[in-house]
Amino acid sequence: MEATVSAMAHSHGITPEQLRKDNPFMGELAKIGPIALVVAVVLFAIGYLMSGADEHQRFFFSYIHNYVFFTSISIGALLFTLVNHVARASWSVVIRRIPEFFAGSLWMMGIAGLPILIMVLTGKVEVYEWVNIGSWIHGAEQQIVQNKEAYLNTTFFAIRYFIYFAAFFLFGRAILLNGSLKQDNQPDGDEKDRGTMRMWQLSAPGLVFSFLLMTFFAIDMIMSLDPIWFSTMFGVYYFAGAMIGFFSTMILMFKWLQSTGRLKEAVTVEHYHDFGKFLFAFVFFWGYIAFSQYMLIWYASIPEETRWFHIRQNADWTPLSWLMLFGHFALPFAFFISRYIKRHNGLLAVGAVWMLVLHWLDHFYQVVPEYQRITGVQPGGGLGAAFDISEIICLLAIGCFWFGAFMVTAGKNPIAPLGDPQIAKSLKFDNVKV
Amino acid sequence: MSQTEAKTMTIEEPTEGRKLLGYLLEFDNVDDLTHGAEKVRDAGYSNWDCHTPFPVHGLDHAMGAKPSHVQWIVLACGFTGLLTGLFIQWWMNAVVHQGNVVTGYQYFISGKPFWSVPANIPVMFELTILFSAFASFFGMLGVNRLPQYNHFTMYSERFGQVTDDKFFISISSEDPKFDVGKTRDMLSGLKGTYLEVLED
Amino acid sequence: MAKTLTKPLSQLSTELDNTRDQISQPPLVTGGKTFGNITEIVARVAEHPSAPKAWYVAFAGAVMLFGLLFAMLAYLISTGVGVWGVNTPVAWGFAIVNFVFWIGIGHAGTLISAILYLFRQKWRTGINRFAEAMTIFAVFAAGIFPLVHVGRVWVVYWIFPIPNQQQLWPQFRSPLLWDVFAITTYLLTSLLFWYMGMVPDLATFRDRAKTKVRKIVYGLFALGWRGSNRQWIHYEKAYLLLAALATPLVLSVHSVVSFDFATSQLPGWHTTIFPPYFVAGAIFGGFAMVVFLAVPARELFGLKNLITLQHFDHMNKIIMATGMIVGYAYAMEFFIAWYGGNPLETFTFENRATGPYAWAYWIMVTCNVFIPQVFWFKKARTNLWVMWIVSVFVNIGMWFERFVIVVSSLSRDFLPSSWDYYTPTWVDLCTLAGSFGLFFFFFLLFCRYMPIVAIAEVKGVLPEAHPGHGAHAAAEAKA
Repeated sequence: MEATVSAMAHSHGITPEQLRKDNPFMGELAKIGPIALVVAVVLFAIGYLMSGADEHQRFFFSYIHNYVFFTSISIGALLFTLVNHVARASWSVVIRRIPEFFAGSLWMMGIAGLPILIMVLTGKVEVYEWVNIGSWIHGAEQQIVQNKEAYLNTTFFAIRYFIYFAAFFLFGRAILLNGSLKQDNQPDGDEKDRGTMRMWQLSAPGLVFSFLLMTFFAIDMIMSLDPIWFSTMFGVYYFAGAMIGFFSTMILMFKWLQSTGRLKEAVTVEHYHDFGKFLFAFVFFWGYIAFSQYMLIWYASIPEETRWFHIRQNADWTPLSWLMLFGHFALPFAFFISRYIKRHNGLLAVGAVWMLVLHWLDHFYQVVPEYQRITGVQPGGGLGAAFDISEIICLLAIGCFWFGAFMVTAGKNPIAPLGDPQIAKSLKFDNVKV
Repeated sequence: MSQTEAKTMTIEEPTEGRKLLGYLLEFDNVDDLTHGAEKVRDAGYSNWDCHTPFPVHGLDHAMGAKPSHVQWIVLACGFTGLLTGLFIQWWMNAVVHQGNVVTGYQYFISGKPFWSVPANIPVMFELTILFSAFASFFGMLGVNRLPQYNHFTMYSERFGQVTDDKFFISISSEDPKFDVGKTRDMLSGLKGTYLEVLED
Repeated sequence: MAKTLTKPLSQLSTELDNTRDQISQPPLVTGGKTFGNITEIVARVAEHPSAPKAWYVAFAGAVMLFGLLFAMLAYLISTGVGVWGVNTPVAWGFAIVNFVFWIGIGHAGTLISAILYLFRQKWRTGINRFAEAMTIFAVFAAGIFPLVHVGRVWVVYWIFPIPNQQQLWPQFRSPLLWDVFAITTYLLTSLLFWYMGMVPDLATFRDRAKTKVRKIVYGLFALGWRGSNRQWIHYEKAYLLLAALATPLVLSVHSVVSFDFATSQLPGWHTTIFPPYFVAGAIFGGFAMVVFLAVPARELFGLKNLITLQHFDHMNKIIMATGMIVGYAYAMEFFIAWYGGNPLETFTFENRATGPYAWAYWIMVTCNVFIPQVFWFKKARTNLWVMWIVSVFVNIGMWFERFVIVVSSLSRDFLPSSWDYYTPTWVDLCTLAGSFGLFFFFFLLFCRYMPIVAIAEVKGVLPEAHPGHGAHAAAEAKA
């Protein structure tokens, strides 16, 4: 409650000059960046070496699971930044730098994904069955997957992988983050305004390409784990989850930065309220997409489609399916509908942590049951047996890398776009009655 | 537009022997109205109101008015709609009653169980929205006591401009703090343009 | 006021360009208008003794087409559905195509009212009333088709869960029944939303009314609204709640319509992206219809300062964006049809692009994906002729999209021996034309007698509507 009240007091806003004095730098915290990257590499090495027993097969499922999870958050940040430029939004300017850092460090997730790429190219570990159609896929399925070989082959996979991250570098780093950083110390005037307008214009095609690339990224990384199964909705499903992950991260990120004395005046309850609204909207959107995808496949009941859900709602995985329905949709829906909660940043942060955990479990639900299908292992001991220690190691390793990339990108740069032409307008933002 | 320049206010006099219904003070901009509302609020009146052609940002606070709680009506009705949707589909398609009771009717369709919830979600959803939408509209009318075709402000000749470009503060004579002289003095101290006396 | 009413409405406004992309956004209402001006501009449309000539011409045309619709429906009901071109296997012909088309048109109104409201897009205020009215009349037009398509229209009440002598209940696992609930809910909610937004404006009309009839009719419907702030508080909350309810509703309605197709196993119909793809398509077509109607309406009724080029600029961007979402869905369908490896699915999509209905498919792709690309250029987004022509193409394209989905998939189903080519009869064509008559009949009446722009809401976006911004901001807006 205290937090709500103190933030309320500032809802009339501060000036850009006051913002510059509001500790808008990472300062000491920036040192975390390189350390986190080193820790990530060490953890990866430990995890990899520990998992030699099954030729790292289970390890790679954990790795993919955590990799798509963290990447989704940064993709969410990229899309959010692009949409805000397309809409010429001014409310979001003051909080836009954090998504810009995530979008600007997204290309580094291309480095974090290299173990997956190498695993695919060397073709030694049975994770993506299409890598070795001849010996990993049998019977009638072999013919089906052979027909897809024009798309599902290792060379094209590598080319696409390169395209994704080259484009993410172009939009996230070169255009958006660099364009915004350039304005920080630029004098006000036409040239600065032109910089903003250039970002506005480039964001429209940027959005189109990023969305398409995200779709194929999701198809490649997750959907092709079952080379038979397909869903035209899958890209949108990944998108819905990505936005949930992103807004939850934003809430926690600002809560953390403010608790270290940064941007205490600039970021107010109004911004948390809007993150809460977006989070609520995407919880609903995710529910809508997940339900539509499930219901249509359930209703038509065609075997090559139902196989995906068949594994996931039977035997050990049943509780996880229910958890998706209630924990990822129904409960947060009821929670975030309240304005009181959206404007109370303590409760909102609890909700954000919950959503991040559930978003992580959503990716667990998408990725790991395929391990069971491929190996034919029936854990039989409930969800606990489906779980593996490598999940935790990969969570920490990729999490450290992802956060380290963010911190290195932030470095000595201001953590709010101090020089944005719309910054003054943005600081006055008040959303209860607009 | 003219916050700085002094305003001249026309002030009407009450007529002897007619029942006084209240005062109506006219403003020509939102700033003066908002400041006026703060003064009336601080003077402790309760049966008074501001009238504007469109909702004015910050006026609720200036009036000390409480926020709306229509959402609770909507929530209750929405939940009722959800349960109604669930119940009718179960009752009509999932079970067959025996005896003299009106029976449900079970259809065997595409091998689905009689009680298949995924197929029942759309109707549950639509009924939730339908009930909630009715609740927001009629709940709003109920809380606002609309329609109301008779109100003391409607005795005014000038009040028609409230739906055009003028702003008003009305104080009812039924307000416990209302006093023919004092209230008038208080209102004439505001930056209004016309103080009207409303009589039966 | 007397002076303005002697001139035709169309000569009462001027075009001012407020579309310049700049950091401090240009005013939404051009020509330095005041609160009083806005009331005047909107109210004079309904108060002017004569409507523009074009209105009379259009209204006469609409009445004739509406009459044609009645004649066609009478012929259909008295003779039977054999008068339509439907055959086996194409049992769903024009009726379903037209139904989905009109429901789609009906989506822009709620989108503008609700979603743009939640996103604080102030430019919605110039066009929302207009689009909401359009929604309701489009849903009327849509509702006709399933109604008569059931065959025995006199027992159509069987679709509602009303106890009857056969002790039968509706079959709730049928997507067609979901449609009944979705469309009914949508119609009622849109009506409430439209009417509720109109209450303060009806009060404006009441307060300006000169004749007894106007005073009584507008007075009755204005519910005794007196602009009370204690009422605005609840009103605004309820409006926000309706917007928040209408947003998922608008998603659900076209999703449910898409379920009619997607829950089946028919190749070309059964695909998981259908719900969001149909919603995007509906918004796309609906916005095109708004542009199609708004361009002449602002010209004829002197609304150029309220519905400005900036409004069109925004709408055209949305048309392009939703057009690209539709294009994304076409691409995903095609990709997955191949990737999925199901030969029936692959065949259906090859057949769409190269089979007997390839002409319809390519009309659809051209109109929906290629033509809207001109909106990348600002010149095109702010040129009234260009946008008007594009809006016509988009509407044609969206009609053909439904035609392609319904007819091309059905005409070549699983059993080649039963394949057949579907050709609409003259009754089909006249009924489609008649549905436009119904839509325009109501729409033109609305334009003539109702507050065509949300007066109170447009006033709310003027700078002087905000305390503390008054003098300074107003001067800036005029400069």
